[in-house]
Amino acid sequence: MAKDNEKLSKDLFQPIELSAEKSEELTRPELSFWKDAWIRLRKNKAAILGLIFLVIIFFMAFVGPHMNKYEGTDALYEAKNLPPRVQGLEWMELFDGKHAWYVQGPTSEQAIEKGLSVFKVEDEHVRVTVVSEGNESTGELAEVELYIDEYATRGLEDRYYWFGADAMGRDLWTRVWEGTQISLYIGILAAAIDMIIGVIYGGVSAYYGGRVDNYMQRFIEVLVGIPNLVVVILMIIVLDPGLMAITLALTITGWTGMARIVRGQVLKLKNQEFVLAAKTLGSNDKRILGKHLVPNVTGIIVINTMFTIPGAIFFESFLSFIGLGLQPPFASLGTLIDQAFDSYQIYPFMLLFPSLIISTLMIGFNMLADGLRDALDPKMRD
Amino acid sequence: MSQEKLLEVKNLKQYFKTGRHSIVKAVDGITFDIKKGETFGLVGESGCGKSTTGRTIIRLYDATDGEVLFNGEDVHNKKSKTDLKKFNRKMQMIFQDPYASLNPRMTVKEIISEGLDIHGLVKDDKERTARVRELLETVGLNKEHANRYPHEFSGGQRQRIGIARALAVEPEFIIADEPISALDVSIQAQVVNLMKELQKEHGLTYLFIAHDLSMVKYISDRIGVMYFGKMVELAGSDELYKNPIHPYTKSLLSAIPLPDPDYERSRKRIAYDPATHDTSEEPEFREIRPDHWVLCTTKEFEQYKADLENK
Repeated sequence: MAKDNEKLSKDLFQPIELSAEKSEELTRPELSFWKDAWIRLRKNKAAILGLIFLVIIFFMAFVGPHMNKYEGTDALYEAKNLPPRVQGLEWMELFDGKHAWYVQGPTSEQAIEKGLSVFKVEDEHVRVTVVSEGNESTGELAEVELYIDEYATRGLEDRYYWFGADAMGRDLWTRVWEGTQISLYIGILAAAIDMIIGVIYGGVSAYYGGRVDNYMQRFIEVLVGIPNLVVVILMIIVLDPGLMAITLALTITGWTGMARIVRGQVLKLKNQEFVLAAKTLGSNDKRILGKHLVPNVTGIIVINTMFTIPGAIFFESFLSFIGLGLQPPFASLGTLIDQAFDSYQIYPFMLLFPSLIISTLMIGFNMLADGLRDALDPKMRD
Repeated sequence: MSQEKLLEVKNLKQYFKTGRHSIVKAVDGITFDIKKGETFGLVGESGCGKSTTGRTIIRLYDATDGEVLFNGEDVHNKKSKTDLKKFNRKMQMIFQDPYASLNPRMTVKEIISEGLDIHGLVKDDKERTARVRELLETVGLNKEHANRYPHEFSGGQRQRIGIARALAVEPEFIIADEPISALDVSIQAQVVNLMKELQKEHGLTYLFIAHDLSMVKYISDRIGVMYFGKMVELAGSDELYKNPIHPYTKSLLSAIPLPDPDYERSRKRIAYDPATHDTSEEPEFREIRPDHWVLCTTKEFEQYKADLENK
């Protein structure tokens, strides 16, 4: 064997100094649970992207409404349905403040004439393009496109509605960010209430076990058995529709998921030896729940809450969309989408911005929650 | 060793309901006592009720029947909170699984100082830190480890943290529930030696639950052998090893492997067959020799006695 020929001389080896003190040394830096989780979260690109989305939206939700001079409730009749216009971005079709109208007529000339008279627009503010020449013999109509500078036509050249204006002439930029604020508020409040009730209910149910657990779980099953939408509609009919009613309606059945998850985890943990050790030391129930059981479920609570927030935002939007949500003059992303939906084929920009924000918000929360699940899962610990 | 009894267990029973009509008799009427300063070993196969006995003694379970007297006071009748707290301080437990017995979300300092806080043994954080460091040194760990989390330690180190936690409230009696069975052989000796040292220094009394007979013999003064919820034999550790009487004890002893190939080749396992017992009457716990007790019927008693004399 070739290996036998390789004689290893003794001076290649160095004895490791082993002392009793050294053997107990720990070389890893001291890391708390959250620091450790943050290090792992940082490695997850999708989660960080989600976090960036959320930070931007949160920032804009609070700063956005103050970035221009319009109030969310300022209605200006002349400004109704104005398309978006942004200083310096007028070269972009989306932000040039112009709107394309299509007019049909027997011939293109007639169509143009008809269009100009209907829109009462001066020649200098409109660009006319013929889309198709009509054919008199077959009865096919001609179609022309009138690309009208809405701001100039209405004498509002000094105004810039970044996201356009709604049917009542209110600035959509301000309203969208105010709506985001309200949506976030509802989502976070509902998730927080869900969390508090769910953790306490689930923790108590699992910890005391036996008959207590049995009754508490049957109660949850009854709640879950009633269709959510029915409960919500009843709640909103009984209470005045508004912020509090929606939040309450969302939480009245929303906490059951959290309660079940916490119960499952606590059931798993409560017979672990560290809990028995705390009992033999004389800990009372409150201490065991608060110091031993709940902290060990934190990761799952955080993850579940992070998934609840977008769920609540979405459900609120859904309620608003079907007309059970916030009442004017308040706006959430859902009510904005609802209003925009009425005329989305004519004014698609009204639908675009709130939908874009709500989608980004949902994706952001879901990506971050997904990353948090990986980061907080103790099994991923190295 | 004094002859004063620290713990007396009288006819202790622990039944668990597993269904509407089925009951598991985990511990079925065992009686023994532990003297001050001694180590009492409790051995038996998995599921025979050793751990349940330990947990019932320390009140993790409520006993179905029987009495546990600690220093002459009945443990299970204590109702008031102050009495219970006093009892909790005197009796502590070391657990089997060093990975499950420490709360992963608490630092070592928080884990060890929990008992100190519950019983109000320290006034402020400075005192608490000093006490935790002292305890860490007692069990042979660095005092810098106080701010670490359990997952950073090895099994042996974790077990020592568990011991430090038990020692924090200055108990008289410690129930060690298979404290070494989850550890490496090299670490087992380390932990057992630490326990022996602590016994000397603090005058502790141990109930040592294990299934590793060689280790039990090493640490125990007296050994009780359990089989299916019953104590079948109880004797001093040397006596038990020299003169095992009950067939189950013989079987257990024959199962100990030795790192000696010659011995191992000729070693014969004695299988235990409960059917060989005399069933003419309920077996009772009888003293066959001074301080050597066996569970047997009258007939068996005579036979065992004859066997012993012929030896």
